[in-house]
Amino acid sequence: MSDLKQIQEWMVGVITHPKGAVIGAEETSINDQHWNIQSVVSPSDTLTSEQRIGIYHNGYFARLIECFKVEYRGLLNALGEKLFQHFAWNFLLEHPSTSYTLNDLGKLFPSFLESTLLENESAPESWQLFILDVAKFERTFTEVYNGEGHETLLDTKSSNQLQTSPAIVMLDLKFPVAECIGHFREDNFTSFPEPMISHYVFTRQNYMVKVYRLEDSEYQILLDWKSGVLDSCPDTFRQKWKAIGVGY
Amino acid sequence: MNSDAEVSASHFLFEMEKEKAFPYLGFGLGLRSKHFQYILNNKPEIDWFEIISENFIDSKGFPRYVIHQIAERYPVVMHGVSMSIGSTDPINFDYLKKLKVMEKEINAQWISDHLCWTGVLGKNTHDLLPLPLNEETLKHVVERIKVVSDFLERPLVLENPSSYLQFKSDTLTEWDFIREMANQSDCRLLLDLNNVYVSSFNHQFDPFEYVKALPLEKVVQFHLAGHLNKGTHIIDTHDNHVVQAVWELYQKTIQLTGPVSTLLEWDSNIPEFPELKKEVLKAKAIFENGKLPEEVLISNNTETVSNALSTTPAI
Ligand SMILES: [Fe+2]
Repeated sequence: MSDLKQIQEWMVGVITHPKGAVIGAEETSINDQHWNIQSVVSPSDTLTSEQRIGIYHNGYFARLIECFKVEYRGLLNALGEKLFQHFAWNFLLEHPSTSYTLNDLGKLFPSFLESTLLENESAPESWQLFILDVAKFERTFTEVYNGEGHETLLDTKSSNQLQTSPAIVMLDLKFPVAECIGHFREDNFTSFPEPMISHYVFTRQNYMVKVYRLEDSEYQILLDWKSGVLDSCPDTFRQKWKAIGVGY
Repeated sequence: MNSDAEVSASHFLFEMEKEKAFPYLGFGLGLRSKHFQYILNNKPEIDWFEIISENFIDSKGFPRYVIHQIAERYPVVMHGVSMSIGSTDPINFDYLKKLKVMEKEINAQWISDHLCWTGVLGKNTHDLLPLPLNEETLKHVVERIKVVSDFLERPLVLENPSSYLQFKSDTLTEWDFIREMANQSDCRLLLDLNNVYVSSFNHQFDPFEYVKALPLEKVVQFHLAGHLNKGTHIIDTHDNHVVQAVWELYQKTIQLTGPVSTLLEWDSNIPEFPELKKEVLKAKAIFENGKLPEEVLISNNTETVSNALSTTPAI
């Protein structure tokens, strides 16, 4: 095989194949043709052609799962290494990266978990719902950290009216994730917390992500203000929401 | 026909341009999120920083704020992992546009990436994959370098990758390929001496022969890093001290090149900033008095994945 395009298509087929590089080569065809690894890759004195391309196969899955482990560290500790790997691996097979950036890679992981865990479940178990809450929470944290904030808008703001910060994200969860996530991420996971309806708002101040618990009524009013149902910030919350970065 | 005086004057101007475009920066460190706060608080004395471009170009949060702060105080170089210059997929101009925006924002000294490809048919492996080294690839890469540098309006700097395999269709050595690539395009070279060493072990060649065969006048930067020797092969992990053999290669190489901006990369098991700085100062000591550092004999090395690329923050 000599054509550059063919070699590249073949190699991506082989190194991203779920059953390993050798079976990957057997099951990858380019223009209806199969190539065995030895016909494309030279051996070295110490490694066979299969072992050499195997390094890239291992690297592909290990590298991307490692990225998941950093972003979803609480989830990793809650699920345990084996189950986490299982989900991350299957996710990669279903949603390989198509972007130049790794930031997008974990975006669909919470919804993937939701469809995988709750598939055929008429009455999901408590631990499944907790896992989904943790995944949503960790992804939201990443997005608020990297997303738009109001830090650079302060200088150009013309009116005195409080406006909602572009950073804020509201999450309605079934478990008190914010109160225990720090603990989980520190490898101190021991048991799932008891369910508790938890309304959170994620804000950002001086580029630091902050998460606050809101009472049900306050959460509903903030939702209304954020979506424009209320055209200005209610007086009761003006001071607090400014102080916690909900508005600016 | 040019007179001798005209020729030497234009050569002088070329050298001046090169000086201006690729100034000597000294001894720098790869900027990693772990050290953001330390650098902002302590403003450590270090000559320059190199960023992984992808970790900043899309950020509208803390990373972007940090790089603006750092760029006010230190020279910054942009080093990317996603250009995929050797891929047969179309060039991603949206990505290049973002590089250009950031380059202006932080007044980047230069923009570099790797001689590799990262994916095809739209699928990105996020790995720096090796290219078949032959005339077909050479032509393809040279054409794409021209397109990219025209778009970026500056010469592209390309790094020799570390690799774990060679193709049956190779007809050129890596050093011949790189020499031809540099001669046929306007690119400059980022010579990663650890990568040379890693590949020399994996493919059984003499690393210094590789270095000597390159057009060294085109080398504008060195990379140094640690790796993991598995006995049968080396994985380029960037998770440890630079090995003695790479320091020796650096020592011999700078005798041929003279001062070249030198940068230490450390991407996994990243130590605290002062230890990182100590490691790059070993390069400075070699440069200033030819003194090789004490060899690190024991290290708690556990990583087996090459070049971790993620910078997600800790909650
Ligand atoms: Fe490098």
